[in-house]
Amino acid sequence: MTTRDEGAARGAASDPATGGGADASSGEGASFDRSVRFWLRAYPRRWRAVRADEVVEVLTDLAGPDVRRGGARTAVGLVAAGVAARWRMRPPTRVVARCRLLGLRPPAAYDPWLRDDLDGIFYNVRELIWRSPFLAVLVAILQIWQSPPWFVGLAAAVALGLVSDELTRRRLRRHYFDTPSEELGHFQPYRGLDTEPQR
Amino acid sequence: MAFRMSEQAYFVMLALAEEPRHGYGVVQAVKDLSDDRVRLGAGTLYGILDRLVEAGFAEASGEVVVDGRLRRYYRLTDEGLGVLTAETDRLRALTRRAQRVLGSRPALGTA
Repeated sequence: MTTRDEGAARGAASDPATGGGADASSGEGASFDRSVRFWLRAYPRRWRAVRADEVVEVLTDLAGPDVRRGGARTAVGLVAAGVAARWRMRPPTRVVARCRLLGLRPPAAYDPWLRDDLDGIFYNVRELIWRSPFLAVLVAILQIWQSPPWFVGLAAAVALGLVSDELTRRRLRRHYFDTPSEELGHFQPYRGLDTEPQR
Repeated sequence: MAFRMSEQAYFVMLALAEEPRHGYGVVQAVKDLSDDRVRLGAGTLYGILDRLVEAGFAEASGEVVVDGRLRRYYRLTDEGLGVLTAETDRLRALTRRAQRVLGSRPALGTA
C-alpha cells in the first residue's frame, strides 16, 4: 500500500537538492554547520534540541555548495526568528514572576521552560534583574542605617542576590530532577514513514 | 492565541496541501506557487511551521535520512485544510469585489 508518506519519501530520494549544498563532512560543510549553529543559539535550547539539525540541513540546501558561512541575511533572520520563538514559548509573566521572586516551581506544563532556564547561562543575572528592586531597597536601608561608601552597599546587595539566586537554582534543579517531566512537546515522538498515517 | 494568516503562511499551507513536504521542499514550492515572488528564509519558514503545528493546522508526518541528512516531513491536518479552504474562499470573494470596483471605473482619459 502506498501512503502519502511513502510517496514523500520517494520524492526525497530523487530530490536533486539532496546532492547539493555544502557537505557537512567537508571543510566548507563543517564551517557552514558551525556558523549556522552559532546563530541558532538565538532559539531556546528545547527548540534547538528538536529542530536544529533539520534547520541546518535546510540552510545547507538553500546555500548551495562551496558556501562557508551563513551570511548576514541568514544570521539576522535566525536571530529575529529565534527571539520571536523565545517570546512565543515563554510562560505568562505571572508564572515567571512567581518563580523569579518567590522561588516557586511553575506548573508542570512549563517544565521545558524551567529546564532551559536552570541550565541556561546567565541564570543568576536574569534572577538578579528581577530582584533588583528589592536589592535597591536593601541598599537604601543600609545607606541610611550605616552610611557606608555606596559601592559597599551595592556589592553586598549583589553578592547576597547572587548567593540567593544560586540557592534557588539548586533547589529547583533538585526538585526538577526528582520529578522528571513526561512532556515530549509538539514534535515528538515521530512516526516512521512505514507506519500508517493517522488522519 | 489566534493564528495570524500572513501571505507567507498562506503559501506554506498551500505547499503542504499539495503533498507532505520537508523544509527545503516547502521553500521551493512556495517560490513556485508565488511565481518567484516569495522567498522564505529558514527563520521565517520554521516560525510559520511552529505556529501551524501549535494551532493544529499542520503536523510532522515522518522523517527520513537520505545520504546522512535529516528530512522531516510536514503535512496539513484536516483542520488546516479547512482553514486554507476558508481563506481561499475569502480571497476569491475579495478578488470578485476588486474586479467589480475596477470594472466600474471610467476608462482613463474619459473623466
